[in-house]
Amino acid sequence: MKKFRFFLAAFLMVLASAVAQAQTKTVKGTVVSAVDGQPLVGATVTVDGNTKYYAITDLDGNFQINNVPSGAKYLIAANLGYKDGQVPVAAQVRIALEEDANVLDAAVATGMYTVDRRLNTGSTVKVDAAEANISGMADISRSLEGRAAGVSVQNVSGTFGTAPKIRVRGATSIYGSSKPLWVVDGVIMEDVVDVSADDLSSGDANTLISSAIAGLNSDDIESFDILKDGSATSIYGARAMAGVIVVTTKKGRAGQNRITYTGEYTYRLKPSYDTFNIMNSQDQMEVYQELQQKGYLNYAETANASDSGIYGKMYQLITQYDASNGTFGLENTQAARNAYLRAAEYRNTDWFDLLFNNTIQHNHSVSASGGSEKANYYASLSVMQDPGWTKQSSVQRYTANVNTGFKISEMLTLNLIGNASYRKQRAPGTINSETDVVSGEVKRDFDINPYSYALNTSRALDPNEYYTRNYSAFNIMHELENNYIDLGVNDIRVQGEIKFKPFQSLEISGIAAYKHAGTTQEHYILDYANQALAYREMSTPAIRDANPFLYKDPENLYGYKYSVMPVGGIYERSENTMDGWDLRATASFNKTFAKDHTLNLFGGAEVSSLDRHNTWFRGWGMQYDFGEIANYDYHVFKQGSEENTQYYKLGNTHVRSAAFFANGTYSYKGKYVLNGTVRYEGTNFLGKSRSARWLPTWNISGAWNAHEEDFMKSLYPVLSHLSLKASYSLTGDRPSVTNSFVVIRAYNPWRPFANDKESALAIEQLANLALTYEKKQELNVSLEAGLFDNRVNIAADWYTRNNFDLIGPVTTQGIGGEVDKMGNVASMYSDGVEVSLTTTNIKTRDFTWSTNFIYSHSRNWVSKLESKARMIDLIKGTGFAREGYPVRSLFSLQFDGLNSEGLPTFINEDGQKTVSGIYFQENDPEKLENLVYSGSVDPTDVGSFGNIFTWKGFKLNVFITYSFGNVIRLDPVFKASYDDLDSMPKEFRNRWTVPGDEERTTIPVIASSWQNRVYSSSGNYLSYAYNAYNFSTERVAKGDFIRLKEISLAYDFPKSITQKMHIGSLGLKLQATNLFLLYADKKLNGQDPEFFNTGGVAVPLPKQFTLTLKIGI
Amino acid sequence: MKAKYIFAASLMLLGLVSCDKFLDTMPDNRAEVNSASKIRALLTSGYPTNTYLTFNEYMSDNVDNLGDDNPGTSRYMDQIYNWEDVTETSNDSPKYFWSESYLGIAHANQALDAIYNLTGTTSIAEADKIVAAGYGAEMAEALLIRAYNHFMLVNEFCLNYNSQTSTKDLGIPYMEQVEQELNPKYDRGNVAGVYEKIERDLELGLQYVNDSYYQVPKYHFNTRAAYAFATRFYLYYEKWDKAVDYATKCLGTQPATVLRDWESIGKLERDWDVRSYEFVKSDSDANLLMFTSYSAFGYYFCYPGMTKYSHNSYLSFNEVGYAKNVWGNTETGWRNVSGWYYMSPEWYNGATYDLIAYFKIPYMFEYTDPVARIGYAHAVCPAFTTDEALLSRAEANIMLQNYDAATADINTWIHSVIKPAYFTKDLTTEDIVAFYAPIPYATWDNSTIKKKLNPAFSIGAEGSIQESMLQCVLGLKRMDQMAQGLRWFDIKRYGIEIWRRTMEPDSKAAQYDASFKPMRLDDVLTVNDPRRAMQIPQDVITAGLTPNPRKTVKQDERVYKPMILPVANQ
Repeated sequence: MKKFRFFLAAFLMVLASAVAQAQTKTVKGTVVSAVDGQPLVGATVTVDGNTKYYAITDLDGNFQINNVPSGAKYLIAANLGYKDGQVPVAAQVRIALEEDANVLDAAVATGMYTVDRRLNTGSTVKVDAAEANISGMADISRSLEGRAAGVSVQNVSGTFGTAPKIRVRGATSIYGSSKPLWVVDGVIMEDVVDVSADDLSSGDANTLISSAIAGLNSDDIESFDILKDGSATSIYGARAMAGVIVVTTKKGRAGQNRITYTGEYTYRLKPSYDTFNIMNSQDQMEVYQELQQKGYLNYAETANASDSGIYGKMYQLITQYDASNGTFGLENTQAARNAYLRAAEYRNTDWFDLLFNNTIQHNHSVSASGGSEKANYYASLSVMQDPGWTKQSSVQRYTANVNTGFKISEMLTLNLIGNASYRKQRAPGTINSETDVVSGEVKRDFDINPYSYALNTSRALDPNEYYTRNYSAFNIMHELENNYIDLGVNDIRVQGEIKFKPFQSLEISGIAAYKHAGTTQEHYILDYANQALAYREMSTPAIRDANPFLYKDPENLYGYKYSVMPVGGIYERSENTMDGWDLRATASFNKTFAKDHTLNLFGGAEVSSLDRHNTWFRGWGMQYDFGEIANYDYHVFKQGSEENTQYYKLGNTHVRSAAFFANGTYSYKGKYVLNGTVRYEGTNFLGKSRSARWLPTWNISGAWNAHEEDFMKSLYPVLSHLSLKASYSLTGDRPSVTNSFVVIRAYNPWRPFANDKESALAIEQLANLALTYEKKQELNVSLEAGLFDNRVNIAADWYTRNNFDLIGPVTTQGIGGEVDKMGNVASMYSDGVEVSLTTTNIKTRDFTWSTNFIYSHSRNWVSKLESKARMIDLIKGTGFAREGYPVRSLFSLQFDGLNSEGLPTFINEDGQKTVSGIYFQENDPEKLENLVYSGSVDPTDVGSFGNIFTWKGFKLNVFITYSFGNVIRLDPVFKASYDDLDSMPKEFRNRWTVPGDEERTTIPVIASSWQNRVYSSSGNYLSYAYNAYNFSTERVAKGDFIRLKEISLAYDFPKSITQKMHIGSLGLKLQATNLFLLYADKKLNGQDPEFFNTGGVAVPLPKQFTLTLKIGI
Repeated sequence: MKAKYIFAASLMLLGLVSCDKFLDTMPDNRAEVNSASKIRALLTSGYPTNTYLTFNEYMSDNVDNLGDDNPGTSRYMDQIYNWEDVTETSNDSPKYFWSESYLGIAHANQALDAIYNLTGTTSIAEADKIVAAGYGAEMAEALLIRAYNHFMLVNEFCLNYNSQTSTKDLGIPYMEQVEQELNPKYDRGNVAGVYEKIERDLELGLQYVNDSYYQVPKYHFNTRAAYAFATRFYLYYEKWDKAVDYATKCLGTQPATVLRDWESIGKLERDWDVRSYEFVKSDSDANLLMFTSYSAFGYYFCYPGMTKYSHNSYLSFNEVGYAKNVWGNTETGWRNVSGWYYMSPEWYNGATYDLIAYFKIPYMFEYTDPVARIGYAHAVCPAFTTDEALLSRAEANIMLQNYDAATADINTWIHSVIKPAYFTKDLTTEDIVAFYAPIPYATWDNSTIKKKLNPAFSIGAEGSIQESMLQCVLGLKRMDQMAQGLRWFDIKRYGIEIWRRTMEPDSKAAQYDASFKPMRLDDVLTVNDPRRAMQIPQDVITAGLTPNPRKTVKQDERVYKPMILPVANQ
């Protein structure tokens, strides 16, 4: 019925003043918003739902109905975006309407202004925060997964503070980040460090501060508006090419004084070996035995090896003599050795159990809100305590949020918002990962990530024993306690907005905001951490000569290597701060002329400034154990100076931007809407060159609200709502290079000896006077329909995009000094379809069942790009662009079966069959034609299927997300040689063992030490072959999955009970999140298709159960 | 009301104007070159950090192929050894030498641009005004850098300068301004034109070069380095008298005192690190200008790191360091001759390797992250030495027929490398002629220390004083500049035919004999072979620059001569 009334409302608004009929009574009144007491324009008021007696509110929200029959009971007011309100008939009434978050009905917040959905011509989605909220998920950005068509959220890491990879309608750039813009209460949020989309999955420590909105408490969020097409985003100009996510926080409402407590208690399941195909210790020891037969794990090599496990320990024990009782650590007899190894066979260590915790994460949030017509407020505090799912991963977060509004006079209103948060986090110590482009290996030294440790470490190891890593003693539990990162993040945002309404149709507003974020990362490597001990491990001459962490003085070439850190550990500190302010002045003019013509004009200017500052320092020889006093060896500085290593660093970046914008909307009778936006924006991003810094962006769009047409009325209520929209736009994004002016930077050139050193300036990039913004043209067509009195709602979008002037490589003659340059030479196309279908299947007095189905399909392909990609970039798993393929394409080496020795063979870049003749740095596009295209790493089809059942106070929610169309690289588990620390997946059981096996299996042999020697002596290193296997067609899986994301049961206690308890409301909710995958490629064998197991600080999203308690007073 | 709008509109306009100033804030810590000290700092990056050492040595006659099955190679090494157009990219490949040299030029031009801005000038035609404003020394260094980089580029990627064909031979673009377009196209001009511009820049640079401002003078064009550059330039430009003049300015009156002190290096431990670090010390008088580079050359050439193409014992014992030489050693080989030198080259000898190693170029590391052990390999090499200047002066004097002056320099040089006990009596011009005249020219299967000279300029006939003296000085230069990459230029300038030959282990060799011997001739670099001009990088050709002409040689048309072994040996 509601929709019908809107239809009528609009229709009647057109007819304007009501035709008066002589009756008994005249009713006058005002319709206002319950949120802020502002008058509502164009609301319909009827008497008892009888359309015979109706009125439409004017610009002050006033209405008058004459001739109301004396028997009338209620006045019912309806307005778009609000719930219906009803009051008893009286001569003078005031009707306050509650906001309604129902997607089809709401107004659209663009962050700058709010647009009546009837007049909105852009492609936008509104997501109600309360509905999207996943309990126990402290980072709100993760809750958008599957909530809006066209938005894909990939949880590449589940660690708190790490941003998920969010794409609105897919990639918009090849070398740029394609990250959407976050706007909170009208202010653009900035990341404290700029982490590129690929680096989000790197597991590096910087990812912990990659989320700009990790400091927002999910309980404070009212709604999200996702602006998808250029029509919706062009008001943001050159930042919004990849979409905008507008977050609106809660405000206080007049007359509703409330205190709410929300408590969430989350229990996370430990991962289990049952779900992974990791060998148990018995199988593992069998493999070690084979390794031994194949010439590995022998005494001479293993006892002094840089890394060793069971066997290395055994050899060390054999030589370990205890003078006090005259015995050896282990008798050197066959029997004693066998007994030692047998014990390992039965060990079956459960690393997951040891390295993960059974703890409860709890989040408490208290908010108070209320207000009067003059003032309203919303204030909240929250505390999140997470003792950590894994060892050394605790998080504490405190947030405070105040949002107040004042109506100073009829003309002047003021809104003040303050938001602060502080986060303290601990993570296992990590250093950044690196790719060896020659052998193709991606590695991270000193990795102690508990999750990847559990997956990659032999289950035959004794968890209480110290084994060997980097030549020195290593035990994961000890290392985690002695090697960790402490993170402190604070975020402050204060903003004020003043609105001035000199006369009815004009509103002038000014907004000022200040943001500050500060993070400190302190990496503690304590005195006895393996990472510290490695710097002084020289227990035998062989180890001293081999240990790469020892120093050899080039000026004393006759001397032995020695330690630059004879005592203490390492203390590393990096600090990132960000300070920014925004100022914006806007004016809006809304007027309806001659009843039929509605004109909305909006224009303004904004300036913003952002300064980022970072420092980094590494201190050597910190004696944590001895009063925290630094005792450094001067050779550290000598070595650093010789090797051109930075001792400390400092960096500052500055962003300045200024923009002017205007938007105009014209509507005829509410049926036809025409809209246009222009924005003229400039930044300092491109350097001092004034030629390139300004970019105009624009859009033109229109809508046809077909249901307003007279001839459509006959279809009601089967077709209760129908509107069609189209937009065409040009938007841009700041290019990923900034050399419109020559870029010159200071550096210290490497010199062989310390006395030759000097600082210098160097050209980093030559000027490119023609440098300009990356641009996007987009055509968007959308349709919204409501059927059966809006019991079925459909929203569908189709778009096509032409991204041009994208940054890509150019090969030049190099005469200017650079052969390889970057410029605006690339382009790509993308298109897609988005559908969301909301149905109310059953609706009775007590029971409703509603279904929400979301589907989006997007694809893109690079139409112009000079390929400079190396083979390793194309095959390693993050995806890379090539002309004619999607922007994130994964290629593979063609696996060509095992040879008669059990070694894998491939078709190499020259089209020849080879074992290890692979040249990972190949970048000749013709030769790369021999790679096989495996697919895109970005999913093409994503969405969700949700069902909500409510019965009285109960609410059951079953929410399923799905993602299809991408491929993923399986974990690189194959190596040319293994040591006695490695754990192996069960597919090793099926490995090649005897000639002839190549007919039945594709799992390569464990190469013998002899094979390695023979091949490497002819320059064909088997490490190339095994890395090639990891990057081959054999090691690709489909990334498709269907996930049972959430299943929850909530119960709102009825008023009868809560009143007895003297509270306003009481709710309980039990929710299970990420329970399991309903479908995934079998090849994944337990590997989460969303998660990138890259070590460092990355862990997947846990399976978790959350109990939520909500009390309102 | 109207006034209000006008006010608002003008405020907006004002905003637009002041915006540009607001937006002038530099986005990061990039520098603006607006002072003399910053110009100097910028010029520090004018010296290329990718080197010619690898391709010059492996294209020259200083290496042979030790066998088709020898694994110690890479595709890149195969290409340069065989004078093929290089398609591989490595730090040691011509592509990076090309772009780094032009990047050096870009730094010089950027510095000149800054000088013009600070002094209100527009070109070096206003040099007087620049000097008067106090930027003479900076201008001089910029011009020397620009001249030097173009000089090396033209010598690598073009045919050598000669007074006969250079006005027609393809040159390289001479870059005199800052590039600001994304992908501009250039014309190669001709070699003679490039040389004229180098001479102009060089002469102006020499006039104002000033050592006083350098913090680390040996890593910049100091005065003596500039003179050494002028010596090499005029020698290659066939202006012999100027070469002699500048060499004399560089060396001073007592050249013996500034030559490399091999005596003290020879006393150090016989260790690659120890001796090569000493060789590249900037406080050595012999080192005039030092370059660092991203390169594994030290590992390739001074250590048996890349074993397939090697400066092997056969080559050394018959053509270079351990051959019979003018100072009178009657025996050859490492065992008999190594004692003669203050610092003798080492001999690495095994089943797949045979290397006479000159411990000159080190292999050093720069760790950008010492904890993760990530960084770059570097080589360090002197760009100019006093030894080169001395031998260049000798060569120029021979061309001027000042034979005795040349002989005096030759004697001075020999004294610096050979121990006094083995070089007791100074040579006379006649001694030199008497030694060289009877030696036959080397052939591919019979190496000698004498190769036929076919320069474009005229020299005396075989056995004449001039030809014999040139043979002597070119032989000494080859020895002196071993592992320093300069032999290739002499091969070009003198039209020396060299060959690619495959060696095989010499089963008859006694313990201290050369362990490999020539087995097969694969290719010959003829006098007018277009491959004497290294092909410009593949990418640059793709971008539209005219490539060097190449003769298409089919595999079966290649010169191929199987070795005919004497019957008795079979």
